[in-house]
Amino acid sequence: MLKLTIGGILCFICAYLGIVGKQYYDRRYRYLRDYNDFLLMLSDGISYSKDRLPYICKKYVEGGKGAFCNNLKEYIELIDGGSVREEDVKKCFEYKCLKKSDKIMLRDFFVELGKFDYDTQLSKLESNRAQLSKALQQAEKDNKTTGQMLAKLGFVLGIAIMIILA
Amino acid sequence: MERLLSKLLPISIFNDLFSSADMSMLTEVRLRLGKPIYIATSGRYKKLGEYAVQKEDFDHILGVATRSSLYAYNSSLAQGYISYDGGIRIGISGEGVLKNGELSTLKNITSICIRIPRFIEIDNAKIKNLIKNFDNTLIISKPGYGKTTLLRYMIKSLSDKEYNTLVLDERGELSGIVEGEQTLDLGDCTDVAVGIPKLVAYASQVRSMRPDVIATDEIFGEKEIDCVLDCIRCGVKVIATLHADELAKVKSSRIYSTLLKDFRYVVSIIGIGNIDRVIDLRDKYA
Repeated sequence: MLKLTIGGILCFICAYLGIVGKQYYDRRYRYLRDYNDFLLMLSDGISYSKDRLPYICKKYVEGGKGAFCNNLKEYIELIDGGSVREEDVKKCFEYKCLKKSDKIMLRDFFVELGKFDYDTQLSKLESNRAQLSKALQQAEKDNKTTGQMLAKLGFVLGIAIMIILA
Repeated sequence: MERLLSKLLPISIFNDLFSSADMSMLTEVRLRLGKPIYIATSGRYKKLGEYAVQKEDFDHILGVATRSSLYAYNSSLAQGYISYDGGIRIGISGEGVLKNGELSTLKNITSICIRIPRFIEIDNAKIKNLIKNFDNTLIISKPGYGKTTLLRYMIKSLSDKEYNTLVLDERGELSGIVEGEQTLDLGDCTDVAVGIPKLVAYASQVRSMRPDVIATDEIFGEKEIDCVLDCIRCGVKVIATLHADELAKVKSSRIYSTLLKDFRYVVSIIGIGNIDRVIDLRDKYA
């Protein structure tokens, strides 16, 4: 009976770790997807109506939720306060589920955002979207393959341990 | 104004400014890359310490002034200025970017000149008399002597006398309008066309707003003179400013002398805020 209980607990822990592993990939994918949505909105705001950056950001976060929205809120506070320093922007987009390359991409983009003339800003935006598109594809693939594999693996490992102990 | 400047300027520069200048008399702050800052109070320039301006200072000022949206200020940048809250005008100089042979914007900014507007009650009998018997008026002086301040005062005075006064304020400097908010009081009977290129505004706004008086700052070039003369021909009174040392120089200019046929008064300013005389071009001197 004791072995069965320990087996059950270990099974639970393994399944939980598997789910946590999957969530990491899932969160990264959702974060980058939200970022992509924001860039689309930003592109429209800049090119069609030449809206100011704080207005576009606030419009995006209105009613929005998720990690990217929360980070964007911090960024809004930053630009409302005046200057945008690299180290402050870096802190804004410090999200645990992002890869180092994602963080660099975000930091580089947001540090320079709003500091260029119209044409340069749009070309920077397009180049960032191209970069993000690759990262997003990779994140989606990772989420479907590695993420699901981790979830399944955790569950299978847990069952295996329980069977062995039983 | 102090609150606006404290936001606009980097904190260290603002602290230096606050501790060494009479903020109520401050009219200009000049920043040049790698050089010390100069400020003007009551028209006198003085160096603000030995601190050399850094690129980051420009980034801060432009970031605040454009609300981190420099891309939205292309046309304004191409004309060399950005309007900030409270009628503050930020003059900018740097490297021009040409597009199809025309100046599209500026980059690599090297100098910034922050001009702080003042609304001053002018206690001058000649000006009060001019407002009482108002007719087309041209205000002339060198740059920085207070033409715009006098114009702003006259707009408010005419508006208080219930003249429908249309202000063609392309740069937002007269009204201090930024993003729809007017920060300088120009009277209850004043309409402001802000951000509209003046040559367009003369035609469209005169038709749509039916003003009694049109007020405009810094007439420049033949096209604008034609527009001004057209307005006068239509029966609208005009009050305008013009960069000129003295009336004789306006008279000797092939282009600007044409204005004098239709303007009745010329107000000449010879020093900072020093109204020299009001000349009645019908040979009556006030």
